[in-house]
Amino acid sequence: MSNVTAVEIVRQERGTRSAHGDRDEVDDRTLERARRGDADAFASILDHYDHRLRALAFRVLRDRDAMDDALQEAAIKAFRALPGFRGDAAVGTWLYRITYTTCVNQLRHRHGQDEDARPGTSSAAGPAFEVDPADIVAARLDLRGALQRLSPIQRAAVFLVVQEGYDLETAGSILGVPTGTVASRLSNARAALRRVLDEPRNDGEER
Amino acid sequence: MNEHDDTTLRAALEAAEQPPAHGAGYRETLLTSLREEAARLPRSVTRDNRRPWFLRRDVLMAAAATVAVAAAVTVIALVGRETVREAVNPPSAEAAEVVAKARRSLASFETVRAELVWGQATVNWPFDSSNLTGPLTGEELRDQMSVQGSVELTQPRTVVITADGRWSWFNVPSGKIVQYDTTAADGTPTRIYVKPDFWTPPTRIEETVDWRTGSSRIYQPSYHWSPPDGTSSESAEYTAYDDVGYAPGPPDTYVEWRGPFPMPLAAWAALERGGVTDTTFEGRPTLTVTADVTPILMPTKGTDQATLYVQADSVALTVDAATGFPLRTVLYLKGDPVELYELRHLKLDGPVSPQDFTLEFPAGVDADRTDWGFREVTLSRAPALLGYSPFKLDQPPEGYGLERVTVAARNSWFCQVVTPDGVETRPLAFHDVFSLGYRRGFLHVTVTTRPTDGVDAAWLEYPFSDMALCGGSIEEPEAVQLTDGAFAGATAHLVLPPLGTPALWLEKNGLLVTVAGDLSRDELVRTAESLEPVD
Repeated sequence: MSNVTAVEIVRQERGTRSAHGDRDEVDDRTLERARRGDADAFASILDHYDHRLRALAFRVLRDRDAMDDALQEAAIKAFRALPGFRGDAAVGTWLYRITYTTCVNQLRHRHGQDEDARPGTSSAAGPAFEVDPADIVAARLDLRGALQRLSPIQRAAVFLVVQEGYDLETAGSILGVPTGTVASRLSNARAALRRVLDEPRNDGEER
Repeated sequence: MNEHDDTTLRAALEAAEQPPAHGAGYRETLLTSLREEAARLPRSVTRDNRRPWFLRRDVLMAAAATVAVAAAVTVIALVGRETVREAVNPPSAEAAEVVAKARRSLASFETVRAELVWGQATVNWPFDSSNLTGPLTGEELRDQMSVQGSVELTQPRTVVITADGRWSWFNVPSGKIVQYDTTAADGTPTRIYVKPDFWTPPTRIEETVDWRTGSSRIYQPSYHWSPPDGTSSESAEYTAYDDVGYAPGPPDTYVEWRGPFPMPLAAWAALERGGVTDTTFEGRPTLTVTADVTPILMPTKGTDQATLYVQADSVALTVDAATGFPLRTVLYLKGDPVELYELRHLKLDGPVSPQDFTLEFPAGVDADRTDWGFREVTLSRAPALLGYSPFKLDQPPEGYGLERVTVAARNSWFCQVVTPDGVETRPLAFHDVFSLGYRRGFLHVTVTTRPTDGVDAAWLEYPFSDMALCGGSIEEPEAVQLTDGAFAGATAHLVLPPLGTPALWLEKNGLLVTVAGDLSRDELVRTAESLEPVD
């Protein structure tokens, strides 16, 4: 989604770096309009964060339709909750929190029908992500396979800390777990992913 | 292995995976939904529902009513009166020594007969939570609270407790005028009266618990509650519960096996860092250890009723100087007592009879029977019953013996989960749970094994508290690497909650293994390093 023109962007330095650049915050007027119930204003806020929210939701759910469902649900929840948003956290962080919670809830509801919904299971019987024909490079497949084998919280922690540049404390507030839990999950996930990157492979041979 | 820093990893991840675009019509559908939402839910109307569940008015009212009901069964007000008299002498022992003495005492005596007194203060919660977006931490909540009046005490009730896990108590409550003021979440002053003329309490409450068989019974005759202003009315002919199949201990326990003991037992770690004062209690020399603890907001487990426990920011434990036996525990919030347990007229190792633990329901009483699913088995049968090899202790902590071996094919309870737009009640389901009960006198250790599949992911993050699910403040687990036993090299998570049960857990090969009980941190780690599979 690229409809960000309705949002006036105020760039703020927030201390930690992001792979996508500095944390972008929506301007106060747009936020206030959304807070008062302006659906279009809120949609424009969502547009602004859309890529990152999609990335988080897909990283956790591993399925595009599930990603869309979760983001729709999270958007409604956030819209309802917006008048109570105090601004202690960045809007993006707050949306991440709601999105992550919604994704985890969706995973829970899939229990029973989908064994791979639960964390830490093998990808063998799980919902296969669609393989992009352009992504046949072995390293990418290996890395995606390694991601698939991580638990949802590990995948989310990798995304938030490694890719989005959040510190452990903020990531913990988004994931709803203590900082130490983020650190331990992240440590294991990093190790698993780095093992894949470090493994020697034969050119052109898929694993 | 080459070292890759996060920059390399980030680049590789971004090259490997970009999120897919939305499906067709996604944004149109979203915008329509948002507009419908804006039209359907006026902002002023929806505000209350967006609060964290424990700050919503209905929950506050329920909690206030709970406090009021608790106060209604109290009779003795000790306004400004302290039953433990403080001497002017300097401390005669270090806190750790007193705690160790108390533990030795609990490990050595076999029976207790006493009058148990429990007290709880009324607490004011003057919240204006209209701008809150998330749950308060224990500290934030504590700052907004004030203790009203004094600790109100129950009439002393006979309690008999045995080290092998039986206990019973008999209570005769009576009414007392209580005025309870609070402020609802929307700022509306609320006053609840509890008066004898509309509160007709049960004539007695009896409860028996038998840890050995995992069973308990509760009976209370009729009561009636009808405030004169008609705000609420409640009555019951009788209440009778006949429960079986309880687990040996946490995290699957629903009852307190040890009557008044859990509070001082749970405070070991905090108390070891406290200060000691020479005191007297009922004329006998006592030692009182006082320590600061981190306040925790704790929702109840195993119920769909949202109930608040705001625990203390300090705790005082008084033990008999001669025997070390715990006699009194007081929890304080900002200097005011909020909860109290006392054992008066204590008799240790006196005779008990089976009748002490027999509760026969009156004729015609149809008790609610609940089977929590745990059954005694032999160790050798357990792997076949469970379909996997569970874990036991190769070497239990010194003095502890294995007394209960149980399995549960299915087990579940409910937890209230805070979501951005309110609270949801969700089941926490388990299957093929293996639970072992080790005991040394009144001290307990529980070891459990269960498959992680189908278990709520958030619960697995912190299996000894609902806080991870409910969004409150929790103790951050310490990561501990085990160096011996079946899990050598594995990382375990360890918590020493200031007023909860010390616990350790780890996940491996699709199994969650827990160790919890009356142990110090080092004992807990050593115990976990003694885990071995049941052959």
